[in-house]
Amino acid sequence: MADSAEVPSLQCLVEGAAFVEVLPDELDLNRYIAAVEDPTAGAIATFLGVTRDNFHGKRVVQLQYEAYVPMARKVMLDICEQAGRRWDIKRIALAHKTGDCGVGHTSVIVAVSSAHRAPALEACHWVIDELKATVPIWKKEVYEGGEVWKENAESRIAAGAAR
Amino acid sequence: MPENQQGNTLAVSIVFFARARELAGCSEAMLQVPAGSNTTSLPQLILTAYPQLKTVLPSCMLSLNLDYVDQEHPQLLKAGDEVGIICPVSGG
Repeated sequence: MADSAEVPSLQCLVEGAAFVEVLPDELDLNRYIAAVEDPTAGAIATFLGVTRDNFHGKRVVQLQYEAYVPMARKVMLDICEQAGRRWDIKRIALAHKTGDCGVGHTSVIVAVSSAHRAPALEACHWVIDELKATVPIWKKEVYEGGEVWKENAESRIAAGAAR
Repeated sequence: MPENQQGNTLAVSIVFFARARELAGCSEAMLQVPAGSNTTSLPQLILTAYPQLKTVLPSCMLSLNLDYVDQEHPQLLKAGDEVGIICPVSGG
């Protein structure tokens, strides 16, 4: 697994420092920034995944997301806790929308706070990559002329397929 | 004898998502499996009950009670377990 973080053995998130949501509502970035604000944090890094209007030349009408909600939450929480062990971060929030997600709308938000900026930026990057690889959420792409269930290139699901 | 265990079988619940859900025609169902079955036998048990999953199941992982099944560490199934059919994911 590509990862350049040093891992001090006793580093981890304090209880309650991870905030995870899977919900059908529009995602509000301010909610997740508020969830990671901390008096000792000088840096907050965020990532938003937004539905774009095209994929390989096809015009996308909307994306539809389906989630195995209790498992998605569990895997998302585990990702947050792993990030807390790999990087010196204070708080982390991770949220994913279910249901319709039109062009320009946000499907996923990551927010991470840390004392200094490098850990927050690196952890934020790692978290979204890990979400796309392992969290049991699926997107159906609706485009002009059809619809298809997508499979992330990052997905490690195919690699460990059921025999 | 527990309600969901009769004779030499026990009942687990299967939850389906995305393409697997569309092919199975349902989002959840009960599956009777032989007592003593473990996660290794799950793919075949699922295919027998849902042959229409033949095209997708080889690329799916399975989950057991919200954890990914690790086929290198088989686990015994028990009555009331929840098995998830996890097609290649596409969150984010």
